[in-house]
Amino acid sequence: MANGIIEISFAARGGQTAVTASQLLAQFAFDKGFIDVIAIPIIGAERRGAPIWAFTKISKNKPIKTYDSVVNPDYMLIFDTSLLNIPRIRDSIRESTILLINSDKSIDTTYLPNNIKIYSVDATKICIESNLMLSSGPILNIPMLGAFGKITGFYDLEIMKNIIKEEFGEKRLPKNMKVAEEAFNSVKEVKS
Amino acid sequence: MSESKEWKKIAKSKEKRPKVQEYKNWKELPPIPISLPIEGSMGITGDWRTFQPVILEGCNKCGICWMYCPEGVIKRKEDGSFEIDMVYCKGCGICAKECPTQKIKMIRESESKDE
Amino acid sequence: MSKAKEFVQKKETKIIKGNVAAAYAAKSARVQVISAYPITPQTTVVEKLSEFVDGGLMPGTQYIRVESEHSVMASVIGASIAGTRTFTATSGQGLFYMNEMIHWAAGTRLPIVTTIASRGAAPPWNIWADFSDVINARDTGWMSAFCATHQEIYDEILMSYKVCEDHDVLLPKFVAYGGFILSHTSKPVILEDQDLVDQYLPPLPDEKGWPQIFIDPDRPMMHGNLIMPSGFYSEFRMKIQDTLMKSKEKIKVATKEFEKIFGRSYGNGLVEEYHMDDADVGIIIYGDLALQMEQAIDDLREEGYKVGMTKLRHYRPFPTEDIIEVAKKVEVLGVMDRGTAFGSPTGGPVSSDVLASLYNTGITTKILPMMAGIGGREVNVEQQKEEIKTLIKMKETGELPDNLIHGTLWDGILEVK
Repeated sequence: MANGIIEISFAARGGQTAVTASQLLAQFAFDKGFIDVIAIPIIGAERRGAPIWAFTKISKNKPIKTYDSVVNPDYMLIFDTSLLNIPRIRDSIRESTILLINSDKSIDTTYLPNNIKIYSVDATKICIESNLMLSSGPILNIPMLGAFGKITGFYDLEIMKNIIKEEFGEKRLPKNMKVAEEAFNSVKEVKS
Repeated sequence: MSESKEWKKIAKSKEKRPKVQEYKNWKELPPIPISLPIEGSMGITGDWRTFQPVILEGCNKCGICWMYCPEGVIKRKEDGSFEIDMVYCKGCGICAKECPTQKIKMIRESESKDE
Repeated sequence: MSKAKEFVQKKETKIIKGNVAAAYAAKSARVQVISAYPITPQTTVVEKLSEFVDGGLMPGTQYIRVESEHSVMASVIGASIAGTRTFTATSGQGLFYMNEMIHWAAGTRLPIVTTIASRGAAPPWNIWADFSDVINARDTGWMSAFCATHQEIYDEILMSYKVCEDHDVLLPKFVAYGGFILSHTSKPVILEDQDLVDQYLPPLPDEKGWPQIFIDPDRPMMHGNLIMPSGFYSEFRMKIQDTLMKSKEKIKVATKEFEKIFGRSYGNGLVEEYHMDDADVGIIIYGDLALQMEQAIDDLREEGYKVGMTKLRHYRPFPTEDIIEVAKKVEVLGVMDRGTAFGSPTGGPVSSDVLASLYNTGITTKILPMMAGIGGREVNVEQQKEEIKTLIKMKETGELPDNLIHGTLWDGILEVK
C-alpha cells in the first residue's frame, strides 16, 4: 500500500477475462468513492491460454501518477491454480500480498511465503452451474470480483449491479448478479 | 488579419473576383495555395500559335473537338456548329488529331486569311 | 434519429481508455466526417466512433470505411476541403503509409485533427509506445501535441480544433499519446457538457463550407496546382513556417480560454512546468512519461532534492522561447526522448531541438540528452528517480556520465553486468 495507493494484480490465462476484470474493478472502486483509479492491461500478441497480466491501482486520497506495472501487489487475483506453477507469477507474490485464488481444491502453499493470507473461491464451478461460458471457458471476471468485493469491502453488490447494468445491459444482469452473489457468499479463507 | 481581407475578395462570387491574379509580394498571397479559374489566366495564349485549326465544310457537329480541347477555347454555337476562339487557341492541334472525319485542318499562320 | 436528438452529452466522469477518450472528444467536437482504417493500437478509437455513429449518437456524421491509411487521409482531405470538421486516428506504420497525403493536408492548409496512438516503427515489428511515428511526420507542416493523461487526450483534441480552425492558422494537427500505456489503460475522464464545448469551439462550417476553403461550382477554386520555380512555391512554404510560429500565440490563447471555461490548466499550452522555479536540476520530458516523472519529482522533493521538470506539450511548433526560459532556471537540464531521430546530433528528436534552441543565447546550462522507453520498454518511477539522480550527480561533479552513446544516455538498456 505504498503511498496510500492500493495495488492489485491479476494473473490469468488469455480468455479468462482478467483484462475486463481489471477495468471493472477500477469502475467499482471509483463508484464507491475512491478518487482516482487506473486499470492497466499488459497487452502483447495474446493467445488464448497464455499467461497474462493486468493491474488495477485505486487511491482513496491522492491522484495516481503512474502507468507502470505493479511489482508489490497488495492483492493478487489468480484466475487459475495452474498459474502458481509459473515461477514468474509465483515470484511476484510478496509476504504482504493477499491472494484470491479460483480453485476447487486445497492450495499447495509449499512455494508461497509463510503466513500469507489466502482466500479461495470456486469461480469456475459457479460459472459452469450458471452456464456463464465463452468458447474459451467460463467468464470468470464477475464471480472473482464478487468474491474480491466481499474480502476487501472496496465495493458492494449494489455497486456491481449498477455498473454491470450500465456496461453489459439489462439482459445480462440477472445471470451475472447470480454468479457475483454466489461468489460473494462462498469465498472463504484458506488456512495455510 | 490582412489575409482575412484578401479572402473576402476571393470568396466572393465568380463575377466579383479580381480579374487579374497577380501578386507582387508574398504578403498579398492567399493563405492557401489555390488558383482561381478565370478567363486567360496565362495571358493571351493565341500568341503562341504557329499553326491554326480551321473547321472545314462537312463537319458533322459531333463535338469531339470541343471535348478534347485542353484550353476550352472551342465553343458550340446556337445552331450546333463549332467555333474556335483564336484569341486563346494556342494551336496545339489536338482537335485536328481527334476529329473522326478529318474536317479540322491545321494551316500555317502565314497562310491564314486573317493575316 | 429521434433517439439521437435526445442524446446530448452532459458533464460526467467515466472510467475509460485513452482511445475511448479520443472518440468521446471527436463526438463532443461534433465532427462531421470520420474516415477509418484499423491499426493497432489506435483501432478502438474508430471502433468506438463507429458505435456512436451506428447508435445514432452522432447525427449527421458520415463514417467512411476505406481500404488503406493513404485513402483515409485522402478522403479526409476531400471532406475538409468541402467544408466539414473532420477526424481520424492512426498509429505507426499506418501513419507512414499516410505520409504523402499528410503533406497534402498541410500544404492545402486544412484544419484536420488526427490522433496518433503512437507505436514503434518496424522492423523489428513493434506496436508499443514510442513517438517515432509522429516524429516521422515532423517536417510536414502539421502541428503536433503530446498528451500525458487520459483527460489531456480529450481536452487536447478540443483545443486542437480551436487552434486549427482559427482563420489565421488553418493547419492540421496530430494529437499523440503512447500506445497501450494511454490507449488501453482506463482512468477517470471528465466528459464535458455539450453546451460548453459548443460555446468553446468555433462554429461548424455552414453548407457553403469554410469561409476560406470551399468546393462551390459558383465560386470555382483550384487546389494543388503546379507552381513554377519562379512562381510563389517558396513563398507558400515560407507562409507555413510563418503560420506555425505564429500559431504558438494561438495555442496559448486557446489553452487559457479552455482553462477559463473548463477549469483545467495545461501550463501555457506549449510547456507545463512542475517545480521548476527553485530547481537546480530539471528535465524536459513529454508524453505519458511526463506524468510518471511528476511522481518521481514528488518523491525526490520529499527526500530533499531541488528538482523540477518541464512537460513539453507541443513539439511542432517548437516552443523555443519557453525552452530558453526553462534552461535559464537550472544548472543541469536533462532532455528525455521516447522516440528516435537517427543520425541527428543526439539521436533524440527533442534533445536535438533543445540544443539548437539554446545556441547563440549565451546559456551555459549543461544539457544531457536522454532516451528511455523505446518501443514501449517499461519505465517505472524508480528508474525515473535514478535518471534525475544522474543529473544531480552531473551537477555535483560537473562531469558527464561515462556510459553515453554518442553523447546520449540510453537509459534502461539491457546489459550483461
